[in-house]
Amino acid sequence: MGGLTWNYVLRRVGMWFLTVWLGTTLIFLIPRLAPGDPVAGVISRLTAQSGYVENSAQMINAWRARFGLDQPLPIQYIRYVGNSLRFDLGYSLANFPSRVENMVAQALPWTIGLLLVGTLLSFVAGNTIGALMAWERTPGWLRNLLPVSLTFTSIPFFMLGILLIYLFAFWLRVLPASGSVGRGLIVGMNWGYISSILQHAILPSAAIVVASMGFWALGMRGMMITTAGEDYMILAQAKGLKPERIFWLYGVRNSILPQVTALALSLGGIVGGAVLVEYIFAYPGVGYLLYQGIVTSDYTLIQGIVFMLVFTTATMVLVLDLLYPLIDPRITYERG
Amino acid sequence: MAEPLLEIQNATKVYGGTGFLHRGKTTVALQDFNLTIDAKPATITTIAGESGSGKTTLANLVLGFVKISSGQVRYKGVDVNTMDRAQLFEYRREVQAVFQDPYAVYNPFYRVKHIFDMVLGNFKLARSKSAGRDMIEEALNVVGMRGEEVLEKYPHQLSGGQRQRMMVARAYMLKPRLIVADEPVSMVDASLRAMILDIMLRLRDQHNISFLYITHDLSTAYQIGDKIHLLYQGSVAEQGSTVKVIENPKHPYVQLLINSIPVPDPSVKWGGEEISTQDDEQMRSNIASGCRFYGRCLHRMDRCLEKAPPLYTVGDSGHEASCYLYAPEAVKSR
Amino acid sequence: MSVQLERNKAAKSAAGREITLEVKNLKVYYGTPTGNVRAVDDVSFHVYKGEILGLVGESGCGKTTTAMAILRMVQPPGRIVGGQILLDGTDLVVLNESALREVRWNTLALIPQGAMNSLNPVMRIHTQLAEAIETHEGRQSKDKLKQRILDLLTMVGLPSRIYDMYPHELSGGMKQRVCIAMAISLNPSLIIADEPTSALDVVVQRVVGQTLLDVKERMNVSMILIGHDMGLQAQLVDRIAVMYAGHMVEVAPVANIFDEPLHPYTQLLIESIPSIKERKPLRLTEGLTHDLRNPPPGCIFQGRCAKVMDVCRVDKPPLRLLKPEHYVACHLYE
Repeated sequence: MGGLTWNYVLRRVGMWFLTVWLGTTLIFLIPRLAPGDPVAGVISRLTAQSGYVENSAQMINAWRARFGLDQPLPIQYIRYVGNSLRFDLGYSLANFPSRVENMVAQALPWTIGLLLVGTLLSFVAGNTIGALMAWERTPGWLRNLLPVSLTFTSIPFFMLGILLIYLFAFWLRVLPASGSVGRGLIVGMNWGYISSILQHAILPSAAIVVASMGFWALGMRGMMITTAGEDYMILAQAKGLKPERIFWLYGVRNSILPQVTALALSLGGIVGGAVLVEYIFAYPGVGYLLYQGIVTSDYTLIQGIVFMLVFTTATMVLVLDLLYPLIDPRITYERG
Repeated sequence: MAEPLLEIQNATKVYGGTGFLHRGKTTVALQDFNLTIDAKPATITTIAGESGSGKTTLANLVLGFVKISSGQVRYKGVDVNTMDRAQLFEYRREVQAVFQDPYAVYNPFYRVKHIFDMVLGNFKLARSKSAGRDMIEEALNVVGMRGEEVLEKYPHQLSGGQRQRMMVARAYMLKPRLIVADEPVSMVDASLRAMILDIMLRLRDQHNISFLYITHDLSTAYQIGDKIHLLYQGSVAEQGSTVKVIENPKHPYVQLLINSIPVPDPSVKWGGEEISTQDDEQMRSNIASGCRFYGRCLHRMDRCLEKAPPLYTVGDSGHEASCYLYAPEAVKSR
Repeated sequence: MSVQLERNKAAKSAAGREITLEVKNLKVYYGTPTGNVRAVDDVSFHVYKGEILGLVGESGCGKTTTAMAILRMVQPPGRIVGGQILLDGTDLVVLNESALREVRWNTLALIPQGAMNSLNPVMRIHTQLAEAIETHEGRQSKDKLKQRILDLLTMVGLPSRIYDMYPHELSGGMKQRVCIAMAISLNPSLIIADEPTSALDVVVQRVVGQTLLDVKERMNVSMILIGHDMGLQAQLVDRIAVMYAGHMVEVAPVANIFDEPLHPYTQLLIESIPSIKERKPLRLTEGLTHDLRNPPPGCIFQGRCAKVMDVCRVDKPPLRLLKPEHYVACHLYE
């Protein structure tokens, strides 16, 4: 054992670079492998909307030059990778001249706020439910109730969202149905603005929690059952330890390790947003943005969002790799 | 002289040290190991050692589960690494394996019969169904079982001894020349252990099947083995005829090992010198060069650190020990 | 809640030695869809103060179930259906859960079987020792507790540097000695050691075995040593209790068991110990253990016994005192 060694950090950071580079390359290659020309696509849509576009051939060429698409592939590639690493994600095709990184930057705080809270709540609730389901000392009534709470997980995400909107926004009228904040409020650190944000976040985050906690609960339940069969559980019981101590420090503590790995991965993925949730609740996050990008064939926007996804997932994995030895002493920095 | 059945020359296996971005520590699991098993008569050759001695690595090398780092494994004169398809097929048929845990090798969802049917199918042993049934019955009889007793059962309905005998029967059906038996009796009860050892002896004497018997248990090796190779951390400590090595061990490690086996007689106390309570597992592999037993050895000398000792002859019929105590000049000066 | 244990120190045997544990007519059944498996059927024995009682038998004979029953830790579908377990005069069978938690470790400790996985992998060694102490004695001052833990480690021959380590940093032998240190931490009356050396190499096994003997001598604690290695039993225990198919078939001082085993099953056990002193022909036995759900009338060993008589198929022989301290359940000696 020992502290963080340089060797270990360098190897991990090397892996991070490799992942991001490979991801970026794939993002670059895949649209170019697909048939069709995105610029021509945009122009033809314009044509379809306004009937006729003057000098469309010229326009195509101008746009191609603007986006660097007239260059040979290797040059495009080098420029693309260089730009990406500086977070220069280019112009949006559909919303020219908006820049992709600005659009993402506007949407990102909403998504992170919503999904971070939602994912963490779901993680805590799901794991607690899963652990209690596997514990022999859980009271009978609770044990029967827990699986019921998980049946919501089997309801499709969007159905659940619609159900929640119907119940709380239309029928009970206690919560707003869509958006992220009310109109006409003074932006800033004042109560009205913040409470509006919170009110708007309740329904979508509830949808996320209810829909995803079953995933955590079932994983945790399985891990708890595996852990219950371990030899150290027998010794813990023979030692006369309190059942609560055995449950938390022996059962949950050992079962949570793989769950934490999964949590880090899903946290890495949240910048991609929960597309369906954000769409249903018209929540202006990255998921909603991605949806719009797909609908309008905005390749640069889609590429930018996917790049952000690759980048944050790889970063979360890096952070996790550096932190994991703290929660599981069996993993050492030396061995990697 | 006839071609030996199996010949292992300077076999070395190194784990780790390869892989992109992963230049970690390397472990020498087996170093310059040599062994010859003659085609006739069939023999039981024991590879003995404690955990980490490299005995399982050796079994895996022979069975082709791991790739050799350097050296050769030759079967009937052909390097296993350069065999063509037909030769490899024959090798896979003639060299069979029996493992430690007789439960882990069964698929719990199939009846026992399935294992035998698979073998018949894969190696196209039988011309007809009835010929196949006869072969299964014969193989079961060799291990003292009857088809009607076991074939329709599921693995969990059999005892450990039955499962292990069934694995031997499966191997026997292929008419192998060599069976690699990796700790075949360590999970079987004492009273049933004898039965499996007896089957091994009968296969050797009546069916000309040789064994590579991998074990940590010197007493069973002593009861049935012909030649023995005792490994310590990947290298041979001592080898020779089993009876000679165990009755008259020369290497300090082998002496310690044999003294540590508890004697089943309450009036005889655990023999040998009082051993230190220093944990020997901790003292292993701290030596970069030289004899790997140095840290625990009571007879250690300075030269043991310089270079690992070669095998010196310490008795007749190939009894050798890898220890400088038996270097010709050391023996003379005594 | 605190329950006063009636420590009935007056419990004495006929020989006048103090008895620590007395098991009377213990029955443990496992419920299965096709009937109860009688894992432990009417078993009685006792353990004197300051002695090691060996509990032997092949796998499935009920020795581990007996140990788990004494700890009141039989896992469902198993349950204790009858009998008494008197530890220092207190019947453990009828204790409620909180009283049981106080008995555990205070009076009754366990050295578990799986040396490799018996310690919580995410807790440091000192934390695991400290929680055993503090659970039963309440919060302690930090310095005192540390000194006490270090003393315990010294007593089992472990260096103080492992105090802060995690289990995976220790070898198998060291982990098992940590378990021994933990078992003696509260000075219990009885320690149950369930095959404490089964996963260890022979040299390490000897070190751990000697540690057990040392601890017993110094603390005058009683132990039950469960095992199947008769050699190890000969070296470590004072008396041996032999179980077969859920029944106690013979209980005697260790010298008697090895010199003149009376029960045919004990004789078989002794004869099938592989020796490293002389090479002798293997002794084979035929016959199978009967189904534990449907025991036949009469003796439990009739199916495998070479000396079976007519009466054995009708009457079950009771465990009777034949000579001083020598009990056997067999019709041969009536």
